[in-house]
Amino acid sequence: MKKIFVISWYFPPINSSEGLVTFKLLKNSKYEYDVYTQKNSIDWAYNNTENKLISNNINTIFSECVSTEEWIKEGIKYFDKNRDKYDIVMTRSMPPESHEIGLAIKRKYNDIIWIASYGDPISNNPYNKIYYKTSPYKVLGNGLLDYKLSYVLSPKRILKNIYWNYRDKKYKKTQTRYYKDIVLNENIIKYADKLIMNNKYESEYIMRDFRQFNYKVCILYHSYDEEFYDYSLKKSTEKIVISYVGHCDEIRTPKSFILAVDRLNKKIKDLSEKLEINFYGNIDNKDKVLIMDCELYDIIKIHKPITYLESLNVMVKSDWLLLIDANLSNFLEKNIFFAAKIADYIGSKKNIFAITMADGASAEILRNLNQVISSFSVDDIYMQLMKIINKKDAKLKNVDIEEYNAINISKKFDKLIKEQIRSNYEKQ
Amino acid sequence: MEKVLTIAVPTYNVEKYLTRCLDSILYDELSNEKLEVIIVNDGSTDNSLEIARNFQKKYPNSIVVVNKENGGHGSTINVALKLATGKYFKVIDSDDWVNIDEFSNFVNLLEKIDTDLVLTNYSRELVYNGEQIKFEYSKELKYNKIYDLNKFDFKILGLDYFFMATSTIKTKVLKESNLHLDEKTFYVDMEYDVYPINYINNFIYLDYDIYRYFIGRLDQSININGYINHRHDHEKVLKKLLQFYKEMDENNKKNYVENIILQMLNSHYIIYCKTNVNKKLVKDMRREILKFDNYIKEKYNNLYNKFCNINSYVLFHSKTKFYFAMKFNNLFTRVITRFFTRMGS
Repeated sequence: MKKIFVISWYFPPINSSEGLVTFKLLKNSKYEYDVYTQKNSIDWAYNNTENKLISNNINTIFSECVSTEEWIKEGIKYFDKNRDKYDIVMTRSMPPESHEIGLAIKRKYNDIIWIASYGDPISNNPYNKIYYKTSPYKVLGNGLLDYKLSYVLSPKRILKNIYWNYRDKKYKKTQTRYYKDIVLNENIIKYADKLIMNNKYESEYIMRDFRQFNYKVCILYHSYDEEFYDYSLKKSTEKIVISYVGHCDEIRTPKSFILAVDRLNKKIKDLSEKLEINFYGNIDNKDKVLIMDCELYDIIKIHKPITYLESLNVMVKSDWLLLIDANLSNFLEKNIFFAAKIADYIGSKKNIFAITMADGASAEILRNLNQVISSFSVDDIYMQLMKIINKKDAKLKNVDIEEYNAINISKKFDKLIKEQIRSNYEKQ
Repeated sequence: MEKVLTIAVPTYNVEKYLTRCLDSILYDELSNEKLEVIIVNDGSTDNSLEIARNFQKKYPNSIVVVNKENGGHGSTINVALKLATGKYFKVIDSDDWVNIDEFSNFVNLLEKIDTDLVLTNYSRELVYNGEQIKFEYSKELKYNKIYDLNKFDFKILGLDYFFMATSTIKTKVLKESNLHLDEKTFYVDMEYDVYPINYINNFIYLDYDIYRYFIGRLDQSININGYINHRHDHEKVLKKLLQFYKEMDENNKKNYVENIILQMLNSHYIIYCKTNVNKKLVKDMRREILKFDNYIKEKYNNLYNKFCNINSYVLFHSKTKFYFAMKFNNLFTRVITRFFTRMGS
């Protein structure tokens, strides 16, 4: 069989979740791949030092381009030159530009099989909706009795509203991209032969206006690869170690968690001798200040970002792994995001403490694995931490985690490819 | 060992929340023995019953599991009350929980108290931002003081009353009152707040923040859409409370019931005035609210007049046959109605 052409802006050695997810999938597959990527832009990644992540069945083609526009053009040009080498193209977002290459190829060569693999939703991403806040000074049409007439007509309110809208340039800038992404998303769903999504909630969200194309969807979970872990590693302290690995920001914030630790610190004497909490990766300045204000620096430690393989070692050396999701309850009934780190956490075979929405991907996956789930309430988190400190939840049941093993996920992926080839052959 | 507190945990499809609720109640192993936790599974179709049974295995002396056909929130409390043997009775909804720092102390204190009603504070836990809003009664209500309900000045409570989340009531009192809540009906917590009042003679207010009320889920009945969907239940409960009020003797406690009814009337009209759903529904709802408005005017004229003195907005809409409220739910009507209600008052 011919090689499969994969297009992904991020791929190892760049240390980015998107690329790592694809790498684990391809590495364990029985097919051979040419991956068109780049290594000049690390905007959404920490660094490009994952040099150990290589596999015999993967050949990487690096573009020297810096901008995505040039990368798209070069990608299409490369495919035109090498058309005969491939029957299958797989594109992986984010960013969504890789799908633009896939779309251009599919439009030009209709007999090519195009598999589009989604990271986050491309359009209407609820995570971004938080940025699209309505002015708090705007008088809304709903809520009939909520305003006084004097407030509605107040020049102060009107000026504040104008200023707020002026300042919200970020929102206006994203508008062009916003509509472009809606069109791109629609085209991907229409033209791709297969759509890969990482959980059913994401699929329901993305496909809600395209139910007639539901047959194209295949759910492939994020996975862990046992080969990357060193299970012999041990922690070097008697304390209970809780670690968070990954990116935090204003939306995916550890604020409630920090406040819960603060409450715990007031309740339990010498907490710093019993508990160690490590954050590896970006953390918002406001949250750093909160840690300082609460004087928790003996307990909560913030470390610089580390490589993927180092992060797996950190996981193995921890007692508990912390997951913090964005609270999107204002926009969604169910969380549609399955963070790739959950699969890596699962692979480390350590306990997971998740702060997430009660419904949706993360909660369902972790609940099925009998892990600890808390809402975003400080009181709830505090209660769970108390149980952890008092070792009431220290031994979780042995559960089957094989459905997140990269070997099994890749088998599913290989089956999908095989079926698609057969289906194409039958059509011809 | 005699149980100090019976906790009723109404349970319906709450597999995502039940563990947290029970963990919090049973957190302190020393006070567990004093508790009788009656989990009433109301025909759940998820794993709620299995979770409850697992807890029962772990705490056989504290947990009773009742599995029954679906009958609504009220039916679960009716069942739990029948079985209750504890000195006091409290309802904790399975998506809520208790403050583990204070709950065991509270249970220990209940052993020493003998008032018919024990009031505590509670906190609302907002789902959408993780914030906590603490509820406390008016400062005029003193902690640790025993109040005689027959002489109590209910004005002290302001707009508040004895909520399910703040009340712990003697089981004996509840049984004497023959408390029976409506089945398959929403908003029966209002019945729970009102019906036993004639049998409660005294109460004490304790400085404990016990109950954690998880609020803001999109599927909750107290969201505006929930109110619209269950508006007929709201009306049904309101009419029952009006009947109860009518049959009450003229005594001090009648002020308490009146206060609750006035607030429920306010909520009821707001449900109808705030809607801007589809045209067909708006038409139906306008017909309903007109009918209800006439019913209240005819049957409870004094109460209606009192209510209109508080809420002139409703008076305005009643006079205009709810045309503006239902037709234009926007800024224009808000401004116009405010202008006219001010003129009117």
